[in-house]
Amino acid sequence: MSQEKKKGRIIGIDLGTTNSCVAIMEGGQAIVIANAEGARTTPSVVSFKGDERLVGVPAKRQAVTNPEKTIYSAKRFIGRKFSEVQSEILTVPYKVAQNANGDAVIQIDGKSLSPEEIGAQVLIKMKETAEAYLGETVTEAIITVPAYFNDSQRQSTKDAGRIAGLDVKRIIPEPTAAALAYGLDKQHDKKIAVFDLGGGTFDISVLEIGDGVFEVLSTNGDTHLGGDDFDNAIVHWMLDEFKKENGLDLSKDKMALQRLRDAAEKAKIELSGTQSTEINQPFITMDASGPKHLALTLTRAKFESLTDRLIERTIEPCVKALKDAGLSKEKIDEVILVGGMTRMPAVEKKVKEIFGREPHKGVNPDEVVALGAAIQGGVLAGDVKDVLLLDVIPLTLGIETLGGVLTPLVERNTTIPTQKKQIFSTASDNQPAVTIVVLQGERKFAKDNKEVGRFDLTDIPPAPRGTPQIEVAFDIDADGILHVSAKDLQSGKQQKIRIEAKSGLSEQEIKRMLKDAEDHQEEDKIRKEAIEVRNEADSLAFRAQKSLDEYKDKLPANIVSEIQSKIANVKKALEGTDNTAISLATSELNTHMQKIGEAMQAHQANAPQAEAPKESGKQAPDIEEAEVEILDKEEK
Amino acid sequence: MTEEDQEETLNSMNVIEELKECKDKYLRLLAESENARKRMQKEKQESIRFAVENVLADILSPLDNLENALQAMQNMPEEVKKWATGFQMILSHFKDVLTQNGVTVFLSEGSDFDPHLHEAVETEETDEVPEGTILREFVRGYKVGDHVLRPARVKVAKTPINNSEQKIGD
Repeated sequence: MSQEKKKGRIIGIDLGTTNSCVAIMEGGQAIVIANAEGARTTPSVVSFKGDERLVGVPAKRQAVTNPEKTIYSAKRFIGRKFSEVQSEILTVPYKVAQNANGDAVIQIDGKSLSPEEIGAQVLIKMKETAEAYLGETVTEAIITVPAYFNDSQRQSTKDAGRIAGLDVKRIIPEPTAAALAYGLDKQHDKKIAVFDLGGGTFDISVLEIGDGVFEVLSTNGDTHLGGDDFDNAIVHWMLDEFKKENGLDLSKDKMALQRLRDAAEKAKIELSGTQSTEINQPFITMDASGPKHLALTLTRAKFESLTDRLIERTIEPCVKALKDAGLSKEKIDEVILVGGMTRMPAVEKKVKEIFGREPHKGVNPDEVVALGAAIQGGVLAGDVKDVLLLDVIPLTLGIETLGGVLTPLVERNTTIPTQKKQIFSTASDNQPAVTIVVLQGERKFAKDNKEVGRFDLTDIPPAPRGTPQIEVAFDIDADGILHVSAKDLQSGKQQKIRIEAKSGLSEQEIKRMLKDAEDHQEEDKIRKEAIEVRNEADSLAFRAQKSLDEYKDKLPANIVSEIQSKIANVKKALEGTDNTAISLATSELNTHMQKIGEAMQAHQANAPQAEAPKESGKQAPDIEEAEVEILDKEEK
Repeated sequence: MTEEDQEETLNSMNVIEELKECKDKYLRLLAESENARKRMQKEKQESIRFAVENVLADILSPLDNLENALQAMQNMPEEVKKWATGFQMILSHFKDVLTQNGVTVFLSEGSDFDPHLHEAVETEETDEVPEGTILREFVRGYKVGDHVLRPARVKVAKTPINNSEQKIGD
C-alpha cells in the first residue's frame, strides 16, 4: 500500500573454499538460512555435464563419475595468475590453464571458464536460498574473503557477485566478519587474533579495532590444513587396525572406504563431546571364511595422538602472524575461534597455549563468518540502526513482596515499549495500605537490588488478608520511562509513579549487577526457600485458624484442641529462625488439618475452601494471579 | 501577520509530514511483524519436517546393516534360518514404520545415474551398457514423497577411454 519501494535486504555470504553459508538480519538478529535440502552450509562445488549444471550437494554426489568437470576449491584460483598457482593445480583433477592475460582459468570441454564464473554459480545458489526464505528478490550482498586476498582477488570475488546478479555492497575480510559476529566492533583499541580452522584451510589473522574500524595487522596460515585431514587420519587408523586383525586391505574397496569416511567424520564429531566412541561397521566386507565386521573403540586421547602433528602445524603460522604484527602474545586482547574444526577440544587447548588466554567460541563456529557479513549488511541497510531504536530493558523490574522478595514484573531483555500487569493482595487482615517498592535487578531479595522508586496506596477498605485485589501495572514507553501504577480493584482507588530510566544505572553497574546475580544464585535460592517455608507456615497457620473458627461447632472437641496446639506450635516456631523446626511444625499441622476435612465429611458438609482471590472478568489474559502478597506497611 | 500565518502553515505542514511518516513506519512495522509471523509458521513446519526426516534417515543405516546381515543368512543351516526368519519379520516391522511415515524405497540398478537421487561411489569401465547406467546399488535410496531422504550409493558405468569419441583434442 505504501508508495515507496521498500529498501531490500543485504544478505551476507561466506564464500568458502569447501563450503559456503548465507545469513540475513531478521528482527535485529543475524540468522543463517538453510538451503532447500535443509543444510545450513552448501558445498562450494559446481559440476558441468552437457548443458546441465549442478551446484552443491548434487554436484558433489556425481563427482567420481565426472572428475574433470566437477569443480571444487575454485576459490584457490580466483583472481590469480596461472604462474602463481602451479602447486595448487596438482591437487585438483580438473584442468587449469591460462587465458590471454595470464589469469588462471578452468577448462571444461575445451572451453575456458573463469574461477569467477564458478564462484558465481555458488553465489547464485546462496542467493536463491535467501530468496526462498524471504519470499522476495535479493539483489544486494556482502561477501567475505580471506584477509590475505589481494586487490585482484577481491575484485574477482566482486565480479563473481556481479555475474550472479548481486550488487556487492562490500567485500570484507573473513576475520573481520567473525569479530563482528562476536560483537567486538564496539570495543576500542583492542588487538584480536582470529584462529580459523575450516574444512580445507587454516588462517590466522591479527586485527586491530579502533573506533569501529578494523585493520588487519597480519595474516598467516596453511592453505592445505583442515577438517578433511583429521578425517583421513581416522580412516587410515581404521584401515591399519582392520588389516592387523583380519589381514585384509579395505583401501581398494570404494564402498567400504566410503563407509569408513562417514564413520570417521561421525567419530570425530562425537569425540568433541565424549571421551571415547564406538565405531561399528558390520558386514564391512566378506571373504571365504564369511562376513567381516569392523568394531573399534576410539578414545579422545588416541584421536589426539593421531592428529597431533596436524594440530602442531597451526603453531608456526600463529607465531609468524604475531611477529609480523609486531606483537607479543600478551598484547592480544581477544582470541576468536572460527571453523568447524575448532570444536575439537585439543585444538582449543592449543590455541589457549599459543595465545595464553581463553578464546571466544560460539555455538556454530562454521557460521560466524556469514553471520558477521549479514551484520555488516544490516549496518549498511540501516536495519541495525533501526533496531537499536527498539531498546530492551537491561535489568529485571519488579516489586517487593512478602518476606522481602523481589517479584519480577518485566524480565530483563524484554523489548520495549511494553506493559505488564499483575494482581497482588494484602498480607494481614484489615490492612489499610500497601507500599509499592519498585526494584531493579536480578537478585531474589529486595534488599540486594536497586530501589528505583516507592509509593503508598492507601484507604484500602477493611478486608481479610488475601481478599483485596490490587492491580500493579508496569508500563515502559519507547524512551524507557517506567510508569508504575497500583489500583485497588474494589474501591477503584489508584496511585502512580513515573520513573526515568536514566536515573538508573551505568553500563558498568549493569554488568556488575548481572555478574552479582550470577555469583549469588545459589545463596539466594537457599534464602528464598527459607522465606517460602516461613510464608507457607504463616499462611497455613492463618488458614487453619480460620477454618477452626468457622467449623468449631461441627468438630469434635479433641480435634479442635489438637489443631489449636499445632497452630500454636507453628507460631512458636515462626518466632525463631530454625527453618527445619518451622517446616516440621508446618507439616504436622498440615496432617492434622486433614482431620478437619474427614470430620466434616462425616458431617456431610464440605471442607472449607482455602481463600484465593477470584479472577476478575475484565482482566486481560496475560494477567496472572500472584501467590505473593504485598508487604504490609505496618510490618516494615 | 502574514509571516506568522506562513509560519503556522509551515508548522502544520511539518506536523502532517511527520504524521505521514509515522503512519508509514507503523504500517511497515505491522507488515513486517505479520510477515515474520508467517515466516516463523512456515519455518516451524519445515523444522518439524526436517527433524522427523533426520530421525528417519538416521534409522536407515542400522536397517541396512540388519538387511545385509539377513542376506548373509541365506547360506546358513536350517536352524539358523529359522532365527533369521524371525529377524526378517522384525525388519519388516521397521519398514512398516517407514512406510507409515511416507518413506518409500526406490531401486536404482539399471537406471540412469541422477545426482539428485544417487551418490556415485565408484565407476567401472564397460562397453556393455551406455555410460551413466547404474551397475550396482551398494546402499538403497529412500524418498519421502518427492523429496530424497537418502540418496542411493551406486557404482556407475563409464565408457572406456579408448572408445570414447568425446576425448578433448585441443
